[in-house]
Amino acid sequence: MTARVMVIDDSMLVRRQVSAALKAPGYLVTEAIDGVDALEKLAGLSDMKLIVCDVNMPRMNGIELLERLSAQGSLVPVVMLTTEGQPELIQRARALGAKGWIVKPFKPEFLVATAAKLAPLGA
Amino acid sequence: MVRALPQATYGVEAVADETAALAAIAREAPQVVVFSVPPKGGQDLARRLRGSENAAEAYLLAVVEATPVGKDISGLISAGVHDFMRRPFVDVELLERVKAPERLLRWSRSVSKPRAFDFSAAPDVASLTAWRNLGPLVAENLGWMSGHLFAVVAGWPAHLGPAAASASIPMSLAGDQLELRVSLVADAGALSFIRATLLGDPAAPDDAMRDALRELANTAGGALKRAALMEGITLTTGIPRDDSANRFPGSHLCWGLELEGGAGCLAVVGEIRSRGNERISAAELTEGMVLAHDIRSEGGVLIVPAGMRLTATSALRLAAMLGPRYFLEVAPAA
Repeated sequence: MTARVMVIDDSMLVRRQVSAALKAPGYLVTEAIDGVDALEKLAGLSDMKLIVCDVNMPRMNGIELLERLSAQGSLVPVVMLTTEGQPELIQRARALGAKGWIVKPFKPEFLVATAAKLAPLGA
Repeated sequence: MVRALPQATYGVEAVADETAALAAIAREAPQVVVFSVPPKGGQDLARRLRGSENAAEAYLLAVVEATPVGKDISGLISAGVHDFMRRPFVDVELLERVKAPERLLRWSRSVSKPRAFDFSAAPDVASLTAWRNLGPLVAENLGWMSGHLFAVVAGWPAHLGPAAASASIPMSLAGDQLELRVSLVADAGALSFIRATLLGDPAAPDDAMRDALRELANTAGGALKRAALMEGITLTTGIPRDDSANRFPGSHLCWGLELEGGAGCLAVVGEIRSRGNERISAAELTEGMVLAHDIRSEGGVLIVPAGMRLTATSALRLAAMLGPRYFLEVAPAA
């Protein structure tokens, strides 16, 4: 069994690192470069099980994307992956439904463990 | 207790036990939680309620029996309870206690000054430990990211070869009219290192290499931001960019991060300068600007906090919401 994960980050390097970490145990990864790109791609994908999302991005940032997903009634769990550590921002994300907050630079095994908890491969 | 709270004003859900309470809190993320303290284990119950999913922003009101001892009350407060009331009580007393968080918010707003205009309290960023230790701080984070150690040398690195590429991240204290920038300058050896370690491809194209250098600058900015937060200073960061040779006219510090065996070198440069905020119409808001003060509704509800860096989406949304006659103070896009 596998599960589809969306990785949203304006950095090609981060998308590459996160994708490599998640593909290793068997996740299918879809990449997006910011919130606008993510919303466009999510509209055409009904099997998304998890979203890993940066906060600071051009056009539409991660918090704005959470607001949009919340307004749409999305049930896809979202984990924020960011250099930010401001408690107010973390609380805001949590109030908007984010299920996790990982600070960059990240350990791949920690990210995979978080993914396994929220989107188990065997489910 | 349900009877005391007018249904037209409050959405009230009554539950009979802890399991049902935790499920309801996780589902509804309530603003206020009123709970009866059991004869034993009240403090533990409060801690479990406080730590449960979606309870982080809830105001906890404990209802205790008529004769609790002082240490019981202290225990409840230390477990995360905001207020308590004793049985027996009348309906109106419970209603007023539930209204307390709203009153506290109004009071807090009435006594807090907008920092954006309090120039006497401007923090001295240059004296922050995080700023003075920027080089070692960045070396630690980049080392963690790449799995390699860097030797840190204070000052402009003598071993830095001709600068082959550079990237920077803009940062600011919008209300205090300060702009900061953290830049990384890489020589050819450092770029080879980035290609081989971070990109895993010694022949990775230039655009992938420049993206990686921007992400390293982002990591450097994030490390500074989190360290500054520990000293009570909240910095906002922008989007990392390829750098130009232009330097701020303000003060700066620099360090060299040398790779093992003289394989290459990175320079870390931190710059600070003062600059004026602008007062503009909401219709003129654009991506990258940083709000210098909170934006609140007429009722005092916080809509957007000071320090927010606008994206294209948020600039458009605020412009439409506030209209061209609303003027506000912003730091210009870096």
